[in-house]
Formats: sequence, C-alpha cells, structure tokens
Amino acid sequence: MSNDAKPHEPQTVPASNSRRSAVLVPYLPSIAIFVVAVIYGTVSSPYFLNFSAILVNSGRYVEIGMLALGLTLVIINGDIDLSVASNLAVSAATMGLLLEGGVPIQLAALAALAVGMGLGAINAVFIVGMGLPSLVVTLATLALYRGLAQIILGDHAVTAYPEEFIGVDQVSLLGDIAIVPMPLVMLIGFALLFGFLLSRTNFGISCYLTGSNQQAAKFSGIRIDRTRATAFMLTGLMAGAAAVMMTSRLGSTLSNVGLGLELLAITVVVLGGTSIFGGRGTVLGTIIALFAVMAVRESLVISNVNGQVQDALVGVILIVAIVVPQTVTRFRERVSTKRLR
Amino acid sequence: MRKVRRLTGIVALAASTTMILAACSGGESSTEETATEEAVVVEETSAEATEENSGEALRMTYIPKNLGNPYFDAIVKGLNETAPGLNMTVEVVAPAQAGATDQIPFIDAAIQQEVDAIAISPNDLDALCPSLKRAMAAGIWVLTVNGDTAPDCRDASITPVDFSQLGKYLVDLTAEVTGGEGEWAFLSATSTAPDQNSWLEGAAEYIAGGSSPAGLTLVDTVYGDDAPDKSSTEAQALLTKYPNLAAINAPTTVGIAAAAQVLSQSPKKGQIQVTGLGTPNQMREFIKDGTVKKFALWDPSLQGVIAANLIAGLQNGTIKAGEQVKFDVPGVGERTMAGADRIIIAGDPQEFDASNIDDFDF
Repeated sequence: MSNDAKPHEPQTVPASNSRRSAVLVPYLPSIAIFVVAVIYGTVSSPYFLNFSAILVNSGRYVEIGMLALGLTLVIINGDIDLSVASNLAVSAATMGLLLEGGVPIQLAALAALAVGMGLGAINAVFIVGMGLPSLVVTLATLALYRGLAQIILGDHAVTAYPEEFIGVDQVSLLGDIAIVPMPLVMLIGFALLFGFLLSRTNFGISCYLTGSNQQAAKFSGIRIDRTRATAFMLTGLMAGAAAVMMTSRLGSTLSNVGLGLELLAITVVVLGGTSIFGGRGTVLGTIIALFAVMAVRESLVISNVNGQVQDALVGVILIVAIVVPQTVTRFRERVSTKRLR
Repeated sequence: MRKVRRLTGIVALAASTTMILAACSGGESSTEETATEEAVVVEETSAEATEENSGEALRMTYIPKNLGNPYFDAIVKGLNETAPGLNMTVEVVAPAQAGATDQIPFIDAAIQQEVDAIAISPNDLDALCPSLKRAMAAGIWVLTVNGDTAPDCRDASITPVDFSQLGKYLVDLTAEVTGGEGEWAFLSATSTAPDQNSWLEGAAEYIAGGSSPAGLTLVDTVYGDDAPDKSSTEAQALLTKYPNLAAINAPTTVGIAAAAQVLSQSPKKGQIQVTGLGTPNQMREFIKDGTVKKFALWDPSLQGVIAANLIAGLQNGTIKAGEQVKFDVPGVGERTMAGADRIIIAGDPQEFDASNIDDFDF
C-alpha cells in the first residue's frame, strides 16, 4: 500500500487491518482463559455445565464485579485503590450496627452506601487533595478500614436481618420462567451505567486523558482533581452497594467479610485489558474478565481442587494478564515498524 | 512524570502479585509447612476410582474447617476407613483459610455435583445456612461434624463430646494444672468458630455461676485463628501483657501446639502452664520436656466412623432422623441422636499426661 502513496504524501503504515484486530487484543487474554476454564470444567466434571447452578452461584462474583467496575475508573485514571474490600467491610459493619440499634433496614442500607462513598472520599482527600501516591494511601486505608470494621462490630455477627431483605441472590427476574438472578441483572445494570459514563460523557474522556498524561491533561483544562476524586468516591459507593448485596446473600454480617476480595477485583480489572499504568481500559473488558475468573474458579471448585491451588492459579492469571498484552503490543510495534522500512 | 507513573505501576504490580502469592501460601493465617504438607492435597479414597463401576455407591463430601490441620486429618482417617465397607466414597475439600464464608463455594459445588451427603465442620454458625438449606432442599443429607451450625440448617450434628459440659471441663482442667490459683487466658481458634464459642460461653456461665474454683481469674480471651503463626503471636502477647499469668488454655489443637512451642523456648517454661485440647502426637514432646502437665482431647476419627455409618443408615432407611433415635455403629457401640436439635455425642474426653501419652497415635 505504501507504493500507492503519491510522491508529496508522507508514507503511512497501513492501518485499517491492524486497527480492526487491535480492538480485540485487550479482550483476548480473558476470552482465552474463559474458554480454557470451560473446557477444563467440562472435561473434569460432568456437573460443570449445569447452567442453573452456575447462575445461582454467581452472587459472590457479582460483588467482585461491582468493586471491579469502580476500580476500572480508578485504574484508568492512573491511580489504584487497594482499600475496596475493607471499605465493603466497614459499610457492612455500619449497616449491621444500625440494624441492631433499631434502624429500619432500608435506612441502614442507605447508610452503608453513604459510608462507602464517604470512605472513598477520605481516600480522595489524601490522594487528590494532598497529592500522596494512591498505592501508599490505599494500602494504609486497607488496614485502617479493616481494623475499623473490627472495632465497629467486634467479634460478633449480626444476624437479625428481616426475611424480605435476605436472599437477593435467590430472586429471579423472570420468576420460574427462566433463572435470571437479580444480582446478575443489577451487575449488568451497573455495567451499562459505568460503560456509558466512560464512553459517552465528558467525565469518561477526562478519565482517559488524566490516565494517559496527567500533566498534559491538566494544562489542557481537564479537571483532573475532580475526575480522580469522583472515581474514588464512585468506587466507595460501589463498595457500599456490594456490602448490601453480600449481606443479603449471606444473611449475616461479620467483621471479616470480603477478606482478600480487593486482589480478585484488581485481577479482574487488569485481566480485562485495563492498563495498570492508566489511560486505557473498558467496562466491557472488565465484565468479560469477571466471567473468565468466574469460569476458572467454578471449574476448579467443581473438580474438587483445594483452596490453595485455586489462589495460586488466580495469581498466575494476573501475571499472564499483564505480560501477554505488553508482549503483544511490543510485537505489533515491531511488526509495524518493520513495514515502514 | 511518565517514569514515575511507570514505576508506580510496576510497584503496584509487584505488590499485588506478592500479596496474591502470600495469600496463596496463607499470608496471615498460613498453613503449617510441615511433613503434613504432602497429605494436605485433596484426598480421594481408592474406592473413588470405582465410582463408575459401582453405580450405587453413596457419595459424601466432607468439608473440614480448613486444610493442613492434623485434627481434621484424623476425622478424615475415620471416614476413609469406614466408607469402603459401606459402599461409600468420600471427597475431602476445604478452603485454605478458616474464614467464615470460605466454605460456601465448596458447599455450592457439592450441591452442583449432586452428592448424596455433605458433612461439614463449620466455620460459622449462620453464614453457611443459605447454602446448607439449599443442599437439604435438593435432597442432600447435611451433617455437621465436630461443631455445629444453627439447628435448622442441618439434618443432624455429631459432636465429639458433650459440648454443654466442655466449658466447665476446660475451667476445671485449668484449675488442676495451676493448683487452683492464678490468672489465666483462653487462646481460642477463629472468633466465629461455633464449637470453640460454645465452650467459651459454657466456661463464662460456669465462672459467673460462682461454683468455679475461686482462686482462678480469667483475664483474657484471644484468637489465633487456627493458624500456627498467629497463635504463636497471640501466645507471646499474652506473656507480655500479663506478667502474673499462670496458665494459657487453648481449646484448639493448633493453638495449644503453638502456645506450647512458645513456652518451651521461654524462660517461663514450667511457670506458666499450657493446657487445653491437643492431639497426643503433637503434644508428646511438650509433655516430655515438662512444658505441659496435662491436656485433653478425644479421638476425632470416631466422629468419622459414626458419620459414615449414620449417612449410610439414613440413606438406606435403617436410621430415621428424629428426636430420640438410637442406632448401632459397628465396632463402636450404640449412639443416640438426642433432643430437638438431633445431636449425637461421639464419646467422652480423654485426658493425657506423662503416664499415658505414649499409648496413643493420632
């Protein structure tokens, strides 16, 4: 094609073919892992492809997904938030405490959302307001919030939740016609919302620009402080929402809920093609990666693989998720620069 | 600026990867990296391989609190010894940590696998109930072993000894080894463990009731989470916090082993007594070196034997679950499913000291 370029036009790298396939590249690792996991599950257990059972069990992944949606924004901004699971614990603990104090469940649930957003705002104060690195701040709030949850709730569990509130994961949207668990419906709703935010609003554009080059964005008039702070508060809000959902699913609140969930959530975000360095990523990628992680864990647990091996494999997936896109990008760059010569 | 962001990104990556790898090796509550590591992998009985052949074989899944605890390995031993004779296969799966909700995925998987029975040593009283109730609704027998959940979440419960008496028993045991005087503390398992919590409550009631040994004062209750390193840290902390401590009572085999290890290397060895519930094999060296005078337990494998026989009986109708049901366990004797809560007591506590420590192997 370079031969077709007229003498006065600069030679360009043929872009059309590579651009089309480049769209898929971020999603390839998750799709590949999903396929491999499904094949493994089908081969190693006759009970794996039981779709109604899989849907029923999807509740706990919806919580991870909700955290991951907020984290997608944060990581695109070039920040990170390790405190999401601890945030969830404090929100849940607050809700439990209020319920025991006689507050009606609807108000207690709203309080959980407010607390979640508030804790996200605290993160924003330190990170955006004072300019401290997000890694360090959220590492500290990870421990701080977890401790706070234990202080609020002590060692006892709150179990006095009203019947109507418990068991959201058993509620099916279409009733007996088809099993469509409410949590999944809510997750898709949130995903559409976040996807819209990211791709069709000025806020979304700000996120990508802030993540790509913060200084350039600032000098271009993008309000990076507001963008970053909003992302942290939205993530906190999602943590509060996930707390309400988890409490409904379990029917009880303990101070050590959601231990280690932040790692899974970050794994899902990075696996979904969001660059840990910021500037790139999509909600669609996060959702696909969530299903990939769900497939991996469900196929392992149905094959009676023990807990430690499962944890190790999730770690391997995270490494793969980071190495593969980098390698592919570098390979493509090398290929396209070769064509120039 | 780009370089700083790149560096932050790399550090974030390294931190998350390290944390994940630490989590998979246990992290805060790591499993013991001893020779039992080999035996920690999911166990399948040799009868499992014949699952396709004997289409009638009963399938049970046993979910202990977590992996790597020799106490639960003993229960598994009882199950594995009895199952083949009952045309039953046993699958053992567990989470890496004894978290309150960590067993839920395994219960859900067992339901999906359409097993005939689930036996579980629960990490929480209530959090497992939604999944266990679903299992019962799906026609699966649910048995709690060694600890209990809320009674309406399972068909029956096997407790190793009479739990309602164990709290008092532990307080009296402490009185015995300290001579009835002094400050002492509990080093328990996880804060949500239903079994340990019922004993701690029983002990509290006994002490509040006024008939417990007057010279003893319970000063603290700490939780080692059934993890060797956290238990050691908590034991050490007790020594530092209470200079007049006379005894540590650890009603969990992981805790007592950790406390004994800490004390046997401390200048206060022999001054501060270690007692509680421990396996003879783990505690033998500490009896012999004088760190521990006396401790107690029971044979966990007995529960495995009873569980296997109970499930077989329930499945083929020879035993009917009910409020007062007696049934015979071959090689063990008659047992009773008692009360509205359908609890089966496996046996009585066994005390161990220097005189009989060599007579046991578990």
